[in-house]
Amino acid sequence: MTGYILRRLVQMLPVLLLASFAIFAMIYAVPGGPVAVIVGENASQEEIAAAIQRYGLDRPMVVQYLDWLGRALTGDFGLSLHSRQPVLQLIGERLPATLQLALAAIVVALVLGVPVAIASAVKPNSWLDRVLSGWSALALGVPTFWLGILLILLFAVELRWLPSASRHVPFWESPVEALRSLVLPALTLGTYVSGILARFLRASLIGEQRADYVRTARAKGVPERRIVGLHIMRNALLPFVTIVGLMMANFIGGAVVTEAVFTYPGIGRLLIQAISTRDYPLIQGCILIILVAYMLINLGVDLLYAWIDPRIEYR
Amino acid sequence: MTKLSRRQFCMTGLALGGALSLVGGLPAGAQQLKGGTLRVAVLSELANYDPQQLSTVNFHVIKNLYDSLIEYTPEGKPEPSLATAWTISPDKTSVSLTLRDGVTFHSGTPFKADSVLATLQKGADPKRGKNVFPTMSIVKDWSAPDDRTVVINFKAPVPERQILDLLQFLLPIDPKGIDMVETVPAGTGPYTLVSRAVGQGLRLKANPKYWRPNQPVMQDLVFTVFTEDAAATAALESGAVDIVYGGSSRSAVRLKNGGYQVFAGPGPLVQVFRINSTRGPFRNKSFRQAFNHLMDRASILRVGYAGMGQEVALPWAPASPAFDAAYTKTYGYDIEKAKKLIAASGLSADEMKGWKLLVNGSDEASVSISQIVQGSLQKAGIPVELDMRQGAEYVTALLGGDFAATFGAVGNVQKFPSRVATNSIYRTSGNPVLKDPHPHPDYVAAIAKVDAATGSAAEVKASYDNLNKVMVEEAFGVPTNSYDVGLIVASDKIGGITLDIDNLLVARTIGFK
Amino acid sequence: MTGLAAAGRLLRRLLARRGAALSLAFLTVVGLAALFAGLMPLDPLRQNIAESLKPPSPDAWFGTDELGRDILARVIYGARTSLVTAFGAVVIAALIGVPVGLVAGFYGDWRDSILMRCIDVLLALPNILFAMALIAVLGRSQGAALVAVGVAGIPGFARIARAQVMALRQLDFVMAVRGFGGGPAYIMFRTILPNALSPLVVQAIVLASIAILLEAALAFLGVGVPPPTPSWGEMLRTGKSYLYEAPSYAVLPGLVLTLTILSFDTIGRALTAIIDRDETDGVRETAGGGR
Repeated sequence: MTGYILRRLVQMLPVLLLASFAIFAMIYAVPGGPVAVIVGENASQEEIAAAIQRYGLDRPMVVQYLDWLGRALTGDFGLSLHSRQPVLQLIGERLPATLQLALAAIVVALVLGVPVAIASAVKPNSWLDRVLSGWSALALGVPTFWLGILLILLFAVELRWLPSASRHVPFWESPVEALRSLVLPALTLGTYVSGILARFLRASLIGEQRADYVRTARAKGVPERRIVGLHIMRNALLPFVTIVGLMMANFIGGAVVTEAVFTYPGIGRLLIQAISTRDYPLIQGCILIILVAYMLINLGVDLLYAWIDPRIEYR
Repeated sequence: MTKLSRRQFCMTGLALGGALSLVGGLPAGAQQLKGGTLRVAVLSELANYDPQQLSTVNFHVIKNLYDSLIEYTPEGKPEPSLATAWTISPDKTSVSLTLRDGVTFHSGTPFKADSVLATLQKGADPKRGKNVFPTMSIVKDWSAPDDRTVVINFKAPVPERQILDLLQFLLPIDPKGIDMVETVPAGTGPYTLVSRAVGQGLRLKANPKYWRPNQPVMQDLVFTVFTEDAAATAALESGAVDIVYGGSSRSAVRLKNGGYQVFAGPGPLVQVFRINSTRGPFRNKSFRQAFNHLMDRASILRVGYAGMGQEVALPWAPASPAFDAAYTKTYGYDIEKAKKLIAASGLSADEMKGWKLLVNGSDEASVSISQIVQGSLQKAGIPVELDMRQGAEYVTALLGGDFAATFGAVGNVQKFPSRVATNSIYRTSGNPVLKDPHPHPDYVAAIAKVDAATGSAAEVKASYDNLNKVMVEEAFGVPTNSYDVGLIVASDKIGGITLDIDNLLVARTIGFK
Repeated sequence: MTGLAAAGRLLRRLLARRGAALSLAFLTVVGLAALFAGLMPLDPLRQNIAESLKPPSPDAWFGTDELGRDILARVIYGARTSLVTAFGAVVIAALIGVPVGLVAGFYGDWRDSILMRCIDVLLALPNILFAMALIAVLGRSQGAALVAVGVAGIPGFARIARAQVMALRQLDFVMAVRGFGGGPAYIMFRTILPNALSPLVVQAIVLASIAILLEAALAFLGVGVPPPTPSWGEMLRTGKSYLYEAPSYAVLPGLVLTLTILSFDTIGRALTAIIDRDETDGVRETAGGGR
């Protein structure tokens, strides 16, 4: 097992190396450099030239890349061109916010999605199933930015219960404030995930119900609740874990729209901001973090598989 | 005229005593204000603590960590600050300053002439002078006859207003800390730095040895950085902060209707439709002049800035000595007049098209007002497309002068009129848009004339009038409206707001009611 | 001819489902409105700033925006932007994704490994970020939006095409063609592809709903089709900053957008059920798109 994990981790390196070079190359294809934003629109030619030299942007791309790579290998991801702060520090400030939102959204999704899936799967194609399937289609189809706007209109503009814009408050510092800021974005993102969760969990639950071992259990007179709770749920956990893992991985950088609706300070918006100001080291750092998170979460999902279902073995 | 003569009187006035102005400087009712912790939401991350880098991102801290040599009232009247008196020589080639006694820097160093000399030295250094450097171009040398006196000599006679602008622009820095000033504040200001969390905010506390009596009112000053206007406003509404500094006009209007106090300072920006007169149809003067009448200023002000600000046809704030409201009327929105000028240009319909209006896609106001102009142009028979660019891509185009026309705000519009030439489109040499040699020699000459007008009030006014006339005639920059920068929106518990001529945040007089 | 008959049969089965029939009706209305918008007395660009930010009224059913333009007119013309982007994106995704999947699945050797690794990399970055990066390179335009959304759809087509080839390549009739000396290209495109068409058509419809969402999300983030061209996402973006002044501004265009996405999704699912495709195939490409 340890060998397997190590091998998987080693396999990530060439991918990351390739990705980092690809990002670097792409950055240079993007029109407009970082200098303009640094010096401002009223800068003189001398100031521009000085800034280009100071940040080493006049060197060939390959030299800049190797320079960056050399430092990155020692754990130094450089300074943001714009704020002059270490890239890792900037990411470190946003990462907890992103994880907190992703976790809260998953919790919302579980609360909304799992009961819906079970209720639908108990009697497939009943009226209840159809209503609930319609609900999950709705949850899946509503654009998060529209749902977010509706929630803001209701809870912030009309009722004035919650803030219309969120900030990151660490949960352990002030749970109440953290929740006030988290409720709306988590509900928005979680509703969407609950739709996916309900749809695929329902499908796998129905699939499992038809499985031989369930028939055997039924024939033996095992109570229905125990069948659903223990046997079916346990085996339906596999696709479930996949979905939750996949969503977590995606939300590390991909929840940008929800972040934008609620002005939530996540990694995704940090990256967008970095792209907009052409903050090369920050772009590089953000994308690599997103990739690493994606790969680690995928590894975690695979390991969970083995734990849930001992028949799966990794070597 | 009355304004001008009053200013004239104050400028030459000697020894406008410290004690007198201290009483006058204190806002009415300040005594009743209570102290505590002032929580301010700001919308930009501080760049550094150098008071000579007067960019908007540093606006919230400069006047709280440092003091100027002199201050302006919101009306543009000079007042003593670290300099208790200033005497301009009759030939206007030098100014002699008397420095305040009993002031110390945060480090404990006494404030003396040496710090003013060090500050001038830094300002005159092309590498370290930053925003002060261009203003120092009029200065020949300086000296300190004694610890309490500094004399600044100029290369040529300088208009008084320009001398005062320079003094107001100088914020003495502790000579001991001047090399580290970007990272460690080194001022005499009402607050001292406690801590800073980059990207989140910073914390200041009252300077116990501050020289202005009974100030600062608040013991603690906490800044929190918000990346978005909506988030800052939400924090104010939920009571997490007491003041939002530098928010948008739209939010301010909404919050004002909700019972919050809104303060707009005398140092707004002016939105200018910048025209690259070296390109295509814009080389034609009559065609450019048509744009004076193509700006639907009322709509632009309303949609872009929630009606906060003023319609202007010249790049001046009302506090500017060159401000002239008559032009706004004469060069108002009038499609028919514009059509006549377009016809007079002799350009064919094809020649008039084929350019794009560059738009700063990251700025919501620019997107709407550009669409308004696009609509007006359509009415005048000139269909153009918008070229939307985000962030760095837009600034790069602006910096390289790589555009036909675009909206962009200009600053320094409340100061001495030739200061407008610090903005790229109005630069008289090395202009990134119009390039060298400057295609509008009349404008260059008009700026030079303003700089040289050191004589009578009539001569000064004539030089301003001439500049105004040349600006609308050459029409390479078509101003549309002034709008507020550094807006202060405060909860109703807050009192004692002082407005700064540059719209910097002055926290020392603020307290709880 | 048989293709046409099969399509007719499919349509009849589709219409038998109430949800799918309603969705189809809605999409038809939206499509016709977009197509014939020019014939209606509506101008999406005419400004009337004195009448800006008005609530819905008999004169302007959806109210007016910040420049006093008719929001209904903009919603109708915005349908064009949405549908053109969706259509173009599906074409691009299919033109690249299907051959990639066919080649990968047909050979199954190193070619498969390389192509599928590339597809995996495309999947590892959230597609909205990838689309934004692409637009940063290409500049903001209708074409850029279309390409960016299209590239995001490539993995879906590639995976389905690959799965189909792998299922079909060992079947008798394919082996027969091979026996007659049919080359790999002939087998892939003339023999296997026609038989793998229905899951690909379903994928096209699923992708259309994702493409509309993604285009709107890009516009919402301020990098979509540039104004003044009406776009639903752009209207939501601007409308969001006028929530206090004109709540209906963001709500109504969002409603039309949501119904359009739901309709495509409903039809896609109905077709899936009819031709019985395994639903779990869709998880990956649905995940994270424009959220």
